[in-house]
Amino acid sequence: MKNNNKNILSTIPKIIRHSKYKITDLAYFGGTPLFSRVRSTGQLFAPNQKLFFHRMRQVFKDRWITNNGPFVLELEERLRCLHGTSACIAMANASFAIILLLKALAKKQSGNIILPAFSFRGLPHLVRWAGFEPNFCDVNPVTHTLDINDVQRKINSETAAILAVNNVNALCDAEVLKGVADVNGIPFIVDSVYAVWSDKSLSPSSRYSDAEVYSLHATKLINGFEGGYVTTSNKDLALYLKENRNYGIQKGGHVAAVGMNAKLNEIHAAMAITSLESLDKIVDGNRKRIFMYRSFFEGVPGVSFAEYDNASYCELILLEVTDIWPFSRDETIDLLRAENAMARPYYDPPLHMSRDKKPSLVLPETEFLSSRFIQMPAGEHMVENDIKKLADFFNYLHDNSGDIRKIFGEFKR
Amino acid sequence: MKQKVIKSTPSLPDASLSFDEPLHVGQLNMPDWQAFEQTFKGIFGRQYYTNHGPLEAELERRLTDMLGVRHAVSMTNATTAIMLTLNALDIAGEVIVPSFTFPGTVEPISWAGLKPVFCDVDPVSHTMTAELVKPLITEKTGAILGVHLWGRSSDLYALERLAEEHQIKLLLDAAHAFGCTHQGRLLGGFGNAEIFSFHATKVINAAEGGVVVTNDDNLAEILRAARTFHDVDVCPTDLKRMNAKMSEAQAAMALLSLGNFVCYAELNKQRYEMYADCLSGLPGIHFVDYARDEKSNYQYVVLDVNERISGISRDELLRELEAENVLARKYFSPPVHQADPYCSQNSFADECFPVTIDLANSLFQLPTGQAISLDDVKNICALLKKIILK
Repeated sequence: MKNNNKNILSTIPKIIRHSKYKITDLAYFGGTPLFSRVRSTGQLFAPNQKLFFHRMRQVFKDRWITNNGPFVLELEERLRCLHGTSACIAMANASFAIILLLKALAKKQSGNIILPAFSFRGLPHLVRWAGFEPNFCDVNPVTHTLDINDVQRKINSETAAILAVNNVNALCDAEVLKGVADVNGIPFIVDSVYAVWSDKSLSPSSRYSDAEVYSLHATKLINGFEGGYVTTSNKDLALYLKENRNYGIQKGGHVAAVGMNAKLNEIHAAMAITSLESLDKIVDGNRKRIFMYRSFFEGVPGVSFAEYDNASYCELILLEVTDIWPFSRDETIDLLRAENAMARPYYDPPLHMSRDKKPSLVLPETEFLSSRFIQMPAGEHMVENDIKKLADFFNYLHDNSGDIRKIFGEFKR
Repeated sequence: MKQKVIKSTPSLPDASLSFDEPLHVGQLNMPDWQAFEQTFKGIFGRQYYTNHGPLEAELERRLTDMLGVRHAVSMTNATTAIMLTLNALDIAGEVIVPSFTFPGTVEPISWAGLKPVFCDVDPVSHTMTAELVKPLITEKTGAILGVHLWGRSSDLYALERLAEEHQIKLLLDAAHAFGCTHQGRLLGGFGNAEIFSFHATKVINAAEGGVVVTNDDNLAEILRAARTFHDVDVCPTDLKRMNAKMSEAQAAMALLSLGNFVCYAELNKQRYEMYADCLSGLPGIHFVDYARDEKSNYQYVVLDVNERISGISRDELLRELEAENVLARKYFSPPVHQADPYCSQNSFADECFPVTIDLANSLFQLPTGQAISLDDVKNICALLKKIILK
């Protein structure tokens, strides 16, 4: 792969150092944006339309468009094989999956759930929907995953489960977390929305966790419009989830538990299967993109990309802004977004800090990391010339930071 | 294509009608293929697959126009819509709800952290009346959740007055009721909010989908925040949020269905009237004419079996129909108060719900919807007659 990426770079014309020539060229100050069309941070893979419509013809013919249809079953089987687990249960989205998993597995009906505070903003809501309170833990400064020491400090008699998160750059320490969960007699669930494992063999988190959750949202690796799925080797759990995504209705029609409507429909399943068939191509593109970002940004002082595990599918591009960089992370994002490069803060605010209250916890690593990272434009829309433009832009910002800061101050007044 | 096949079967030893392919209950209305392909090519062209896209916006706008309401907040499905609405209305305590309904009406009450208090229904309308609800109201009651069963509602104005008198919320599960009226007024603007379903079995087919309609600006704003984790203009600090968005694919399907609604309802009506006509006078079978005096979508065909007169129980009748590929379904059986999560509570013993129990044992639905022709209706009725009269 390294040789291929070098070949790509050699075909690109010599980099023009600055594409903005004066301060007022910056879109933030009224200039023309770098990009005429928005560049987002999501994957937004466009699958083969012909194949999608071919599948939809079948749906029309059968008139089976939801309620555990053939494409849902096919998708579950394909994903089960991809992940090497005993079961895969498709859902309307990953949020439903997490709620139902917590309900299914938690040691008790109320209490708290251990989860990282440096993570997806929806997680505390899902924990509350399941009837629990979040028990926020700090994270490892390199992997950004649950800090084992803090987990051990925070776990208590009311803890009902551990909900760890695999990040795009690194996996959580599943073996150790499983050990902690076992000592406390509680289940261990992993949110792997950004960490689809590539190997045919079980990933560490699949091996050690009770279940893992993935997403089929359009901005994720596999585009199913909306969707999610659970993998597990627990067949009883799999049956429970299949019943409870359909109102708790068992075979025979009896309602055995308080379920939900969390079913994936056939249109979304057909879209997901069609996307899944291009998984290798999607991952290859992502890896090329991160390589190009690293290469083009190499000379930009004060910023660097997160270190990615070799197995990462690199669907997010995480740029760290250090103290050497002349702008704050949020100022940089404002400048980028004005250029239609819709960068975003990565996991900010930290989950233990809401907008309006003083946090009752101090989680130093989380609070530090929350101010550092930018989610850069990524996915299918980002071609090499776009990445080159962004590198130019950063260089321009750096070289003219003094003048830009002066006008920034006037703009903000 | 379904074919009329004359053959003998174990259940009907004389020559009888049968169907090569199963006939299902549920609308299963599919749009025109060209229109579908064009609409989805538009989605692919825009590369806007979800996250509050243009089709979701257009759907909500068309719904507010059609229903004459201020707000339509689309959701991934109606059950989730009820859950988020109950949560958004900031209700505490108990919610009075019929047991004679689908579990998807009641389960959101539990998810919202509230307790369902079951209520019997009226034997004619199959819905809760103010008279039935009133004795169940206590200081713990936070809301009434009524159901427009078969698209029919009764006593809506009395329920609204009752809710106002006791300062409690009124929510309506309108899953069956798109395009239906109550005393001439389109359903959608009653109570604090109404929730319609766009499940594939309903007259408007989004594969899965739902919408909350309301004239309450504050509630609509909260629901728009509750259904997503994206940044919104207004979001109460402690609001529990969820991914409950409808995708552009779902919105596309719903829009295509909306465009055909008048046609679907008209064809449903023809099948409905054909069933009523063909089954008229059949001993022990009562056709539930829920659409009399009001506008309806006619999406259900509901019959009531009197075993004593017909000589056959509802369940036996369904088995005989199923043997001939007519997949009629009992609705709603068992009633929700008998479901495992709720039956352990003593106040929900069967004696409290005589009408519910009676309906749960005697009602069933026959196939109707786009895949069912008028000839199919005639043949199904002929089959029913043979079974009853043998």
